[in-house]
Amino acid sequence: MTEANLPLIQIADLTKVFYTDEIETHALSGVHLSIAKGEYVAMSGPSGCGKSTLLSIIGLLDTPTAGRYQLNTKPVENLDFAERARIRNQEIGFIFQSFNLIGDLTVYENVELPLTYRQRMPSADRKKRVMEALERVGMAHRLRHYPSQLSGGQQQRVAVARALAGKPSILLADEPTGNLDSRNGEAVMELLSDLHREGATICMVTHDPRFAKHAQREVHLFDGKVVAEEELHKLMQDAQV
Amino acid sequence: MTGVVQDLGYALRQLGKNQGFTVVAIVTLALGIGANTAIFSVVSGVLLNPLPFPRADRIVSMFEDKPNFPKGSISYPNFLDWQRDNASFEAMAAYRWGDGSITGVGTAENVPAQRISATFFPILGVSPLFGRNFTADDDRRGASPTVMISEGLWKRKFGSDLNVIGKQLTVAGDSRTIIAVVPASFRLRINNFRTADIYVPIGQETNPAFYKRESFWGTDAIGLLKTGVTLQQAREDMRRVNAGLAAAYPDVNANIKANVIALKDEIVGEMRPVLLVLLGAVAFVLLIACVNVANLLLARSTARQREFSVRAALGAGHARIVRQLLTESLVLALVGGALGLLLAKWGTAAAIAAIPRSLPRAEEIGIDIRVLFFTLSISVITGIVFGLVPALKSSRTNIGDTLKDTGRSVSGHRSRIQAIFVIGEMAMALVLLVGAGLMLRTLVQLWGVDPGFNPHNVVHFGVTPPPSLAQGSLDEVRAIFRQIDSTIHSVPGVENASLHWGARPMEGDDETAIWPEGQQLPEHQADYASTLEYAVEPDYLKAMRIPLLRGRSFTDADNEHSERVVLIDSSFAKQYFPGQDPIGKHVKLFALDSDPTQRTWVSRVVVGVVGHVNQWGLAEDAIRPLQAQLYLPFMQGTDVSMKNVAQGADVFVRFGSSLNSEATFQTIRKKLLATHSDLIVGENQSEEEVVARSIAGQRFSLILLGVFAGLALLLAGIGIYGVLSYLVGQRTREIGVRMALGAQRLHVLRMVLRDGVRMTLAGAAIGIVAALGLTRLMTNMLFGVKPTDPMTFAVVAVMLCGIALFACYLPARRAMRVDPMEALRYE
Repeated sequence: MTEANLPLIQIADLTKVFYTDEIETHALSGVHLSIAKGEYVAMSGPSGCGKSTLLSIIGLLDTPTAGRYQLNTKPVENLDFAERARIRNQEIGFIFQSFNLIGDLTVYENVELPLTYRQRMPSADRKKRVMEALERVGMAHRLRHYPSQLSGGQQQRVAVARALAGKPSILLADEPTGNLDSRNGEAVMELLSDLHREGATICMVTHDPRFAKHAQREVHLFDGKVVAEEELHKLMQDAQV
Repeated sequence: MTGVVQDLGYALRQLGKNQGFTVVAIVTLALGIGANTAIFSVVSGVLLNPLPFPRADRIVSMFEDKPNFPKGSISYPNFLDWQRDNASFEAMAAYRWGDGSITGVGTAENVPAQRISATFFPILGVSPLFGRNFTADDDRRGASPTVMISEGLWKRKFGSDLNVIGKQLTVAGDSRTIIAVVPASFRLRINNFRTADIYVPIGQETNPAFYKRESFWGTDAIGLLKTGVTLQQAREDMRRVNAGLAAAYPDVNANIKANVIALKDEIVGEMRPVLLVLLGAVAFVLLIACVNVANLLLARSTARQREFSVRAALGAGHARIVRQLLTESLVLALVGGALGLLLAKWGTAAAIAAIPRSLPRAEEIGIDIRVLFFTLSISVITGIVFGLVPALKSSRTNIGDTLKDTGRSVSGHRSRIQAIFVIGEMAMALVLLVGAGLMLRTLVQLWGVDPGFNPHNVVHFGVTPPPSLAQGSLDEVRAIFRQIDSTIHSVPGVENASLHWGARPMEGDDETAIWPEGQQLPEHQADYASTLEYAVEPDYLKAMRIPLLRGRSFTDADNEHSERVVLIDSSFAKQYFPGQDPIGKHVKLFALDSDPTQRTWVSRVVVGVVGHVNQWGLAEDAIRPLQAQLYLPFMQGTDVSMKNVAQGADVFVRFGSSLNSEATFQTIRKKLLATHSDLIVGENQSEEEVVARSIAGQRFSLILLGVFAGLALLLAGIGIYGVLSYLVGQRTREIGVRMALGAQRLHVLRMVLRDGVRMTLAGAAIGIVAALGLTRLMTNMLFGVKPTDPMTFAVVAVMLCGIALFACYLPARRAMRVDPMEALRYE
């Protein structure tokens, strides 16, 4: 296997345990997952199945209790805070359900924000990247607006631009349509599909099967484990019984 | 009414529910209101309350205004002429220190004594506890000797004997009939008058020199203006009277005017600007406290927006919500006020106990109706001031937005009002710190002033020989003082000791007119030059460590049989012998020599020049016109002087540095009493205390300004900490988002500190501008430092910024530790 064909994300036997008082909660139990460069993966499953926890670990917001995680062939499960922050800034683009734009910053400043955390990036380069990202999502005409002056759909497009501006290796989207009506939700999904077609690697958490279908591959989680689609249906039926 | 009761009940429930907030707010307010109440109780007691005399607004203090002394002593004949010739006064009374050596009842002792005119107590409206006041018949030469005693002395010496009136008491060797007991409630402290144990009529003075027009003898006066006469009219009237005296007695009265001052101004005059500055300073502390609580309420109101929206949705109008919130803030303010009142009562008592002599009328300070009304008023005003902004802000909540709580974007929520509040309190804290810094620099400068003598291990005390000595010969007087001197020197641990009369450094002045040889004698006595006069023994310069600059010091050979000599100080030499060697020159002193009724020129030769001694206090000396100082040998006093010395003199003693000076003093006292059982040995007074007392006013200001500035700094620090903590709390999710986007901890630290630094720098800048204006009000309180002293401003600004940054760092550190995963968990 050449380096180009190596998976962008490779997770093996990943476990995440939360300890609350004396209660031990296994959010993830022995998860194996690979995502290739340019792939569009949807992660789905019922509430509490561990999909957001998995996404947080993939996004280096959280660390696994055990297991291995390689990003771009480099092990990242034991990095310190500063190194994880650097990789988040350069390799990962986040799209949140609640958009998480910063209310005091303009559209332009919100998109520029991750670039300001990069050392020695000239402002001309930052501006070029910001404008490209905003044009890509069709929001270049609103760059002086504040988030509160935008609709939900527009805010999410700005959030996508912010994720794109840093030219990350992978986009991580956590229920990106969760706070949008169906029309705006569909538009955002179209945007992600377009980005994928242009070569972006996307990993999206969703529990809406309509949106999951936009992905190339669907990963199902149940009780902290990756399961096959048929098995998921069975497990869910059992759970209902 | 029901609504108000409901509001009150709800307010109490709310405050009870948020105990942390309630305690912080109440303590903050209690500190602010307490400090204000304390200072107001001082201002009320000292400045606002009328003097405790029935016609206080018509009572004035009177002095002779002379070239060297705007508050100079009055010649008794001049006083009698003032009494006779004026048209503005219902009555005038003269007073001066008296000799309080009492014998014949219990142990002989020396108690505070005053000589007063018969009109003295009637002018003040003071009636004896029992007995009668002096009459004009008592207040004249040759009258039957009478005395009024204090209630304290009556209890102590006479066991509260109700039949004390008519009993005899020997005062300064004269048997006097007790005619009255003066109530303990009578208190007065003005120039040359202290509440005493013994009062004798001033007109009974037997020394004929007292009745000479050129004799001053430390006599001042009070007067009672006629009804309807203004102070200005009285001054005009006295100008007329003095013009007549100047025409009649040009030799003595040519340059003398009357200085008429309202009694209250005489008592509290110097403290008025100081107290007003302190009142202004403490108001800043309250404002800072208000700002802090307002910021807490603003933070709390943000958290309660949903509650207000629900209330509004249910039909509550703006006014109703504002009323509800103001009720809560008023409850806080009133509880804080009550606690502040207790703090003030305790704090004021502690402050007065710590610095009792700095403050006139200290005994009249307390919590009275006016102070209670003040506290209630500022509590209510404070409640409205700090409650109004948060209340108005909360009442304008957008119901729809709050109830929907869409939460689509992360709000940084930097509250402009809170930032303005923090900037304001930083500015106010800086002003107070600059004030305290300037006072500190003043005190440091004052402590750096060379008093011209070394006060360490030096004490002085009075010795009063038996009254019979006054009838003895001058040889007998000198002999007994030589024995006293010898006894003191024989006590182990006494390094140096000197008998003394005349001026005492930083305590009491004594002047004499002089004529330096070779200079033109002025036409009138009134124009003669003056010098401070100290009569001392050879050991005095060593005891006080006053340096000999030229010539020689006194020796035991400089006695009553040898040539009359003097030492002069460097100021005297510079003023009267500029560019010359004064050694061997003659100085003539215009003094009472052998004739107690007639001053004559007594010539003395200058044998040495010594260092200048700070006579008027560390702060005052440089600005006083009378600087020249002259020393003469104790035993070379004129006949009249030695007769006076027979009634008492001082002793200055330097102890070995490793000794317990109090124990050594008690040994001296025992030895003196063993050799002269009828001697009265007064209490000892350390020269270090004398020096410290000369700057007690500045110390008083420093302590209070320091406390207020410290309080302001603490509150401002808590304020900026509170606001930044609140902002960090508000921005936790934003910080989480930033971290998710790759922000390093340092980025977060910088982000939070940037807010704090902006507020601090803005506050410091405004504070510097305000301080440049306001510290000018302190000009008269400062010494050796300008109100715009750049060093003080710089140090204070750096210190304030440092503390503010530390206060900012704590929430910033918390922000750095935000776990992005936690912050985003509620996605």
